[in-house]
Amino acid sequence: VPDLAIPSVLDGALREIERTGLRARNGIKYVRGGEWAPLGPTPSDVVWARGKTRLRRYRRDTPARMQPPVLAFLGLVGRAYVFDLWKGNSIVQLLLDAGFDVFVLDWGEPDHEDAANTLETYLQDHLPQAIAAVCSEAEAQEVSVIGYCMGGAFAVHALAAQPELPVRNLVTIATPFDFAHLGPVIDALRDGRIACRSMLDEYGNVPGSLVRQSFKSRKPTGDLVRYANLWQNLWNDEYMEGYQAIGRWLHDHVPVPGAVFEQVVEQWIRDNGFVTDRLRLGRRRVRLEQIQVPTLAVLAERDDICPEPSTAAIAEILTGGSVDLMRLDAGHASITSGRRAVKVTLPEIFGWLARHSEETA
Amino acid sequence: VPADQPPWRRVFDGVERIVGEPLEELVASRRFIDVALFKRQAERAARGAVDGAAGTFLHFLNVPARTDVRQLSRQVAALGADVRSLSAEVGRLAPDVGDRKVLEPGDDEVGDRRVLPSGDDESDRA
Repeated sequence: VPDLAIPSVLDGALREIERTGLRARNGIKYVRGGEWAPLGPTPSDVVWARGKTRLRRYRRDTPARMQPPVLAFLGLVGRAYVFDLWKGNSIVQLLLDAGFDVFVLDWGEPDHEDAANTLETYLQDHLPQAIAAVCSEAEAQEVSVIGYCMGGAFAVHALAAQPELPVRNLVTIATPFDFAHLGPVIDALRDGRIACRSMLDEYGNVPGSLVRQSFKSRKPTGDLVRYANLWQNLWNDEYMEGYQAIGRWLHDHVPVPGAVFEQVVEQWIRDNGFVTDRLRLGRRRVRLEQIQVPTLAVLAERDDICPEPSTAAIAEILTGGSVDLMRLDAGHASITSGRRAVKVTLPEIFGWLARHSEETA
Repeated sequence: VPADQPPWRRVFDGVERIVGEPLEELVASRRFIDVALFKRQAERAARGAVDGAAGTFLHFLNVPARTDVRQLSRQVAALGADVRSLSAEVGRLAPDVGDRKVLEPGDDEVGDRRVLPSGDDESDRA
């Protein structure tokens, strides 16, 4: 046993010495603001725009062999680059590799000009036009939609109001539908302890910093844990890519237009409109049962932002079409980022999408 | 705590859970939300009082205050939204309007009709 122990201790010491050197090198790079994960690693072009909303089409080397094309979007609080986080962990790149034509809708960063934007602005004006632009660009009749987090709720709300939209498949990822399970801040908004107006800044938007604070306050020791993770893995360039990209995403929230926020609080939170089927759009009552699009709802079992009871509710909500639930051992962010996401989670999601699409070539 | 972690990390994770769990319970409590809201309201009230006093002073000097600029900015934004909405409405009512070429001085096209060389009239061709 001692013969074996000495080399292993030596190996461990040598490894630590090597890692300490790499930590020093990467530590200097980190402090100087070095880049491990440049933004938007996959080449793309803006093919349509309206207001601050942009539609990006990702370049393919070969013609798409899967139809229909895929349109992905978030809700209004995050940045669209979540779909293309870093090289080797890009939803967009994986979809391209799977043969799809890929489009991402970026709602942009609202400022004082957009404070009066409503759900109608995004769901009745921008989204249908963006879908039409995707169809036109890709020469397709329909699209498959991927809505991540609030983006999934956007898609469902829009489809309930406009069932004629040419959507072949719908994938919602970590999307809350039952707003009775989303924690104390949402509870306070529902029972009126937080007045919508009190959350608006001087220009009438909910500032991005407030959105960030509300997420951050859920884990008071979260920053300390992040620093411990950073120190432990600072030697590892591969880890640093993910650390930087995910950190950027989690700390980068955009303002929410005040008018949209008030509608969301009224309809989604106070009325719990997805569960009670009391959603409205353009002054008209919409019906969730009108959605007949095959739907995949991806639930993250360790999601502390949108816990399973809030996301799984979709199965009871969409009664007009088939709903497949996919439960994955992941958290809200790790469902789409990290080694396991690339190797297991995302391929499972895209497998469903492929089974509901056609191979053209 | 995973066993393959280095000793310092195991200690850190242990302490973090001891401190973190009660903190997470605290911030998730109704009382914490109420206190945070009260703090925010107090900050806004204080800022409003300072803005009000500064505004009165600036108005006395006939200079616009921050609140005036903000008000103006909101009005311009609302006006912009109205223009965008009208423009969208026009686009819906007359979709071909947006496709027409904007004429520049020297262009030989007027609307949808081509200007023919002098002496050459369409009616002559017919």
